[in-house]
Amino acid sequence: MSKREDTDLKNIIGLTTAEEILGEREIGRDKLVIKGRISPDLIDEISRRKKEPDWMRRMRRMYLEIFNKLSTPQWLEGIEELDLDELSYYVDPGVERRFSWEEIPKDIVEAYEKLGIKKAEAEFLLGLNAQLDSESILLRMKENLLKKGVVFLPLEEAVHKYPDMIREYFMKIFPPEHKFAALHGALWSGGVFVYVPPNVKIDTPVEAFFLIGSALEGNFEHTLIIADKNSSLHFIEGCAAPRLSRYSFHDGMVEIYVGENAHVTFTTLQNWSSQVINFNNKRAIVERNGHIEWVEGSIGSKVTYVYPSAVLRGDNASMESYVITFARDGHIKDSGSKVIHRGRNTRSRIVSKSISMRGGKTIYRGVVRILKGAENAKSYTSCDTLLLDDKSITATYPHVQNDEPTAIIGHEARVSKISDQLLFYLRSRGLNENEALSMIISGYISDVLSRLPFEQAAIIRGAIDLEFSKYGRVG
Amino acid sequence: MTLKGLLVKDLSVEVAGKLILRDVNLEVRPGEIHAIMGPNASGKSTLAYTIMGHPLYKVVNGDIILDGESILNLPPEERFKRGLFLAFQVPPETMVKTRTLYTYLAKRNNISFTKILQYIRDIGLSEDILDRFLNKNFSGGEMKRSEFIQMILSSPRYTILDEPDSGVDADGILMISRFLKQLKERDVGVLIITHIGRVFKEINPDAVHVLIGGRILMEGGPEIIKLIDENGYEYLQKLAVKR
Ligand SMILES: Nc1ncnc2c1ncn2[C@@H]1O[C@H](COP(=O)(O)OP(=O)(O)OP(=O)(O)O)[C@@H](O)[C@H]1O
Ligand SMILES: [Mg+2]
Repeated sequence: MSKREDTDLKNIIGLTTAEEILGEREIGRDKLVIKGRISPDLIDEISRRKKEPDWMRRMRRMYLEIFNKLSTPQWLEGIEELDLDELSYYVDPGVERRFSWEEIPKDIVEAYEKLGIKKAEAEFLLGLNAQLDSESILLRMKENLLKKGVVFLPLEEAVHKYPDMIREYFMKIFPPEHKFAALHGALWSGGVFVYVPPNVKIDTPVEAFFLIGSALEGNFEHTLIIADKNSSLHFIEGCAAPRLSRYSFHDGMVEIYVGENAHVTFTTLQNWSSQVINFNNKRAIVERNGHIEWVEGSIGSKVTYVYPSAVLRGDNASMESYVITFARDGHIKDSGSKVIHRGRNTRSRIVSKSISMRGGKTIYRGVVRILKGAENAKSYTSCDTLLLDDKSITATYPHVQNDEPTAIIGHEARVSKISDQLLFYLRSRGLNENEALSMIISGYISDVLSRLPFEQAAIIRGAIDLEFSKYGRVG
Repeated sequence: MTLKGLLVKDLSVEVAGKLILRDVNLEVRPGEIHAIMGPNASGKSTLAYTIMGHPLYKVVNGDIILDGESILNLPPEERFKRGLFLAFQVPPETMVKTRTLYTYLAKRNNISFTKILQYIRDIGLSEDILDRFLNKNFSGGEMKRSEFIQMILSSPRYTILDEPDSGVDADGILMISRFLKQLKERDVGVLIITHIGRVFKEINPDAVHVLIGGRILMEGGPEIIKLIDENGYEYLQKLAVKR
């Protein structure tokens, strides 16, 4: 790709410091909210508003029961202020879903314009689902997507249009093993359903973009992707919020079914504002010869828990997971990747690169589980941390359990610091401190970026560049 | 009109609470080559770092003047922009791709990438260093050569070379010698820290300053190099005291 395209792309999708871009103004008005204690009645009310079939209502109720039974995981930190009783669980943005930008209130479109989403949609994406608060407000699809028979819909609509598929797959990979995953099942709202028919290859990305418009919201969007045999899909997920007066709670879920020989790339650029408490449940099941590639660019939020995961069920199934996290100013990023090898010759490769600055804390928490019978499975994990100062913290908690003697498992971890001498060296070559840091960080993540498709690399590089044009190293 | 040059005036420098340099004076005019010699730990690198503005090296007295203006309050990057360059004795390992920094430097002076490749070949490096992390696992000679390339790409008006010759093979030393000649021809002021006289094969330094224990104990012409080579610093120290 030429240089020009490089800068163009940055302009199109380099959204970063979304918080700065959006400022303090709430997005949308005249919202309708459902709040109060989480109860069966509250669940029913959400279900009623969505005119859901009874099976979905009952499913929500079941998850509520599980939620009530489970206890909060002991190891969570940074969520002290989270008080589930004061949140709005459903926030109707007060805007009907439309198919064109012109039909959406100007002040809302403005937010998407500022973030570059509108431009990206026009120039770069095959489809876009834009969600504000709890509901989708815009669905755009290029002809190509329709012609190929791809289904790309808000999940609510898919529940009505494709009930059999949703009923079969919804939360199938998520036996709600922890409290917040169960809560998600009870309160989910928004998100998209994607079905790619056999042999259909979608090389241009589709995107779902999520905006939280105001404080004290609970946000539970659910993305369900089914890639049928021999198909391929690149899905981008973006999220942002303005600076909020108090916290908001995001507890989203992504589940992906990768069929035989299918190939799915799922890229997240998480750019929540620094008041958002973010739980992200991401998991894929991969059939024979299938491949899932997770790319997690975790830039924003106050606290994030995210572990893109895969069950490699079929023989020769594989997962690659690239997790880039960035924690500053007391924020916490607890991330990593999890993989379960079941099929023979299954392969996984996890590369985590985290950056902590000004008292930020990054934690790598990973699971590699190789089941008996996953002959010749191979798994490799590499996790690197870059500490920009002495106030910043990092920890690594890899969990490996192997029951298969023929498996090969590798793990590497490294912590690097930026020395005064290195900074002086680069400054003596004419770079100011921020330029030097930005150059160091670009270099630090370059081996991940060079493996990624061009667009993904550009998204992440753009985000980091912008972050460092604003924040320098302190002390 | 102010006189062009890099001036170090009555410079005293402290690092980690310890006084390392005392009352150092130097005057490097454009096109002049000044050699700094001295035993290990005498403060030579300290002088180089201080001129370039290393934040850990505190100037407790004196001044550094570049073309008539004090640069004491300027950060390193500003000093670089005013035409100063420092080739490090031991450049630190980086997480920056060599290509990234080279092209960054070249861009400032409109030097094309083809030209960078040519410099790399001329200096005896292999192109694959471009895709390696700068200075990481570089051999001693590669590091020194890489510092030279960066100097060329920066086209400074005054350059400080901190032991560019140590650990470098015979061909490398000849090359440095030729570089010195070229720098002089281009009117660049050179401050070269060295332990050996062989780099001056092609061209003699205009002045030699001997730094011992943080002070300049002796100054003169190329004859001092021979004196040191044959008798060592201890002899020189006695000589200086006698005078
Ligand atoms: N950052 C530092 N912290 C503590 N001491 C330092 C520091 N930098 C230099 N020194 C001390 O200052 C003195 C001079 O060091 P300097 O590196 O300037 O010597 P040098 O003349 O360049 O020696 P060499 O020939 O070995 O390169 C030494 O005693 C060294 O230990
Ligand atoms: Mg030295």
